[in-house]
Amino acid sequence: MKKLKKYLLLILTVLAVMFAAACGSGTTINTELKINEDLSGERDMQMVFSNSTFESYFTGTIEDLNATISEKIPASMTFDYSEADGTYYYVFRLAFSSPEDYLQKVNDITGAEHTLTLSSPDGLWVNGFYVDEDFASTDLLQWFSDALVEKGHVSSSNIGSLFGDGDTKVSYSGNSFSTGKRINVDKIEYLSIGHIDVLTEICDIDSFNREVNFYIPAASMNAKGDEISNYMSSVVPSFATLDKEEEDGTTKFSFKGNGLDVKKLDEFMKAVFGDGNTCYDSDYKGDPSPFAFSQGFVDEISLANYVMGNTSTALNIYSKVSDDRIVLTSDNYLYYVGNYANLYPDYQINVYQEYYGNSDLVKSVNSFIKCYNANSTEVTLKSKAGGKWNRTIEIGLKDMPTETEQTRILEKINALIKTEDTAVSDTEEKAKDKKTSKGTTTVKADTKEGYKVVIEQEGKVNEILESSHDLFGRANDMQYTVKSGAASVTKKTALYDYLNMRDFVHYDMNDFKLTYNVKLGSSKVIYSNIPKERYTLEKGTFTCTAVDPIIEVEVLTSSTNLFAVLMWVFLAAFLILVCIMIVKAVLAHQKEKPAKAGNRFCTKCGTMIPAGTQFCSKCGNKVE
Amino acid sequence: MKGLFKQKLFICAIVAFVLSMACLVISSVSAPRDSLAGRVSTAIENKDVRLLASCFAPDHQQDAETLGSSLFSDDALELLNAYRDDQSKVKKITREVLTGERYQNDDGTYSIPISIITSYDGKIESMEQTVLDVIKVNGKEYISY
Repeated sequence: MKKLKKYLLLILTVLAVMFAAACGSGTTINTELKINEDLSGERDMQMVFSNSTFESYFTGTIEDLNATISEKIPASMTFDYSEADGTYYYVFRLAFSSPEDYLQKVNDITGAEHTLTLSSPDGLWVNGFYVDEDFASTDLLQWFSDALVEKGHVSSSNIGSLFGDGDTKVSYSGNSFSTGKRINVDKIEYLSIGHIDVLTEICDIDSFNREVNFYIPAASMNAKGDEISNYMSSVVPSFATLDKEEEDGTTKFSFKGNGLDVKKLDEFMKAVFGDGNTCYDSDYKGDPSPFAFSQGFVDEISLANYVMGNTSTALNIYSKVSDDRIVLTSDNYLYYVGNYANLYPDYQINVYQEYYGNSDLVKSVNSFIKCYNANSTEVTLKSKAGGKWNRTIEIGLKDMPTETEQTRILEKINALIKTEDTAVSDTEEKAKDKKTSKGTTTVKADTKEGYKVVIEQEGKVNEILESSHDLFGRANDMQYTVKSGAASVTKKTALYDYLNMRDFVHYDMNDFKLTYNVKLGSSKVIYSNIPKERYTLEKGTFTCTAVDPIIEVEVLTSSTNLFAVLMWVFLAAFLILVCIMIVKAVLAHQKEKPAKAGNRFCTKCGTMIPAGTQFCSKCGNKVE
Repeated sequence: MKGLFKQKLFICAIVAFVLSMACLVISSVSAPRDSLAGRVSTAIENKDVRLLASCFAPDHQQDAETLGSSLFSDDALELLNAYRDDQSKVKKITREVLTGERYQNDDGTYSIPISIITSYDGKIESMEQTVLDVIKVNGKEYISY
């Protein structure tokens, strides 16, 4: 019976050992993340194998295993091996110089995109230590598991139970913090801020007023009021002002900078919020027309110095424009405030973003367009010699652009004219001519009365049309046809002009007028698509108007073919002269005939006078 | 004296003739006639379907004839409708074709602008613009369909 008990105990022990071997881990991975003050550091991952574990799981010798590790270990990782009392110690080490370097190495080793937040703010508002990872040491040592199977040191059925997670701790500034296998340590302390508002007033496309308001609750002011005031005074930019107001127990610190460009905005934000903040020009998407100027900038705001990881503080971003020529575009990120009290009702758009902590940047885009509306456009079309035409388009702007904008307007219009030959100039005196097979298109500015852009197109009809396609778009059309025989005294001409400048000029229908003139000379209009009451014909000029920059004119005219008339006149004169000459010749011939035959006739009645007779036998007239 | 007079008459006649010819030449130059456009004009104005079809590229002449027949039969339909609407207002549809100067395109081909003026009983109702694209087949010019 005793023997039976012994055997049963032995069997149970063997089964327990086998079960433990089958279900438990061969070894655990203990991790220590050591962070230095400058956020460099190293991650040590330690594995300990007893001799029995090694023999249970591994095939081959410890030298074979070390050779495999040396061969397969990632370049950014190192390992130490030691042995003591039949126990094997392995430490895999990942050293890094910065959080960015650490994340890059982790991504390289795991072949995946991980996230890592590591910061140690040490300021008035936030101080302490924060680290958060979305990976574990087993992820970083996956290559080791794969190598063991690949080299046949461990069977694929056993590899899953070889490694287990052990203790994980983080060391920083002499303190040690225990954490889970995926590290998360939040030892941040905050000085509470109610909310932070960033306001932008767009005065012009390159001039902005910025205001940043910090609302500090009484508790924070009571705790560190003097330090807060000193801090605020220390970060105010040299070109900005700082105001302090107290209302209902809340203290408002307000930074204000006026007339700033994007570069100054960047300096402003860096000074107030820290070096991690930037403000830069947004991608230039091209201006929709020569008279519009697209502009935009992006704020990347980091509150790391104020509210790192504290989601209770809201960041509110507001924008407005103070020039009615400027409009905000749909590119702006619009987050309407729900129940949030709007402290700035005069701002046209309330952009609201909650700050979700960590080191993420809040991105705010301000895109806007400044448009110069045209209030008058005068088009004059006249024919020239050699089948050529001249079309002048004068576009008058409601407001005077700045000198820089005037130059840009001319540059942009000239850029639309597709040509190879260019002669540069941008003033009225030195116009920019571009001569091509598309005729000649000249663009110049007239600043005598307000600001006018004068576009002069010259060439054959198809050449002017090509120029219009380049300038105003493919929808434009122009055609000139004639019906006239060489000998026909009347000539019919049909002119069709479809001028569509909707994408070219900006306008307000209530304050815009297009006047279209065609110099027809002595021609008579026999048909037009424009009703009679809507056009005038004075001194040979056909004039009609439109309230938008699109006009379609069909004019059929009839005129006298002067050369055909002259041809008929000269031909008639020629024929008359020929007839006269013929008649004269016949008469002369009749007179000369009797003299030649020797016959004479009575000069009074024409009766033939026989030879030798001196008097007419009919009338008695004496014939010499 | 008589001889001198005769000589003046002769010179005047010659001058008048030369001037008339000069005017004819200038008139011809200022209104050049494009033979292809001329044929198209004649075909449309005379509603000559066969002539119109012959202006198109040989491969498409059949289609052009069908198109021409349809176009000109629409005139008959128009007349019929007008007759039904108001028997006193039966209209005669006439077309007049004005042609423009041909021009070369970027790809080297030529185009000829034409305007077709349509009149009902002599009153102009519409003015349509179109462009004839010219192609050469065996050295002869046609309208590309």
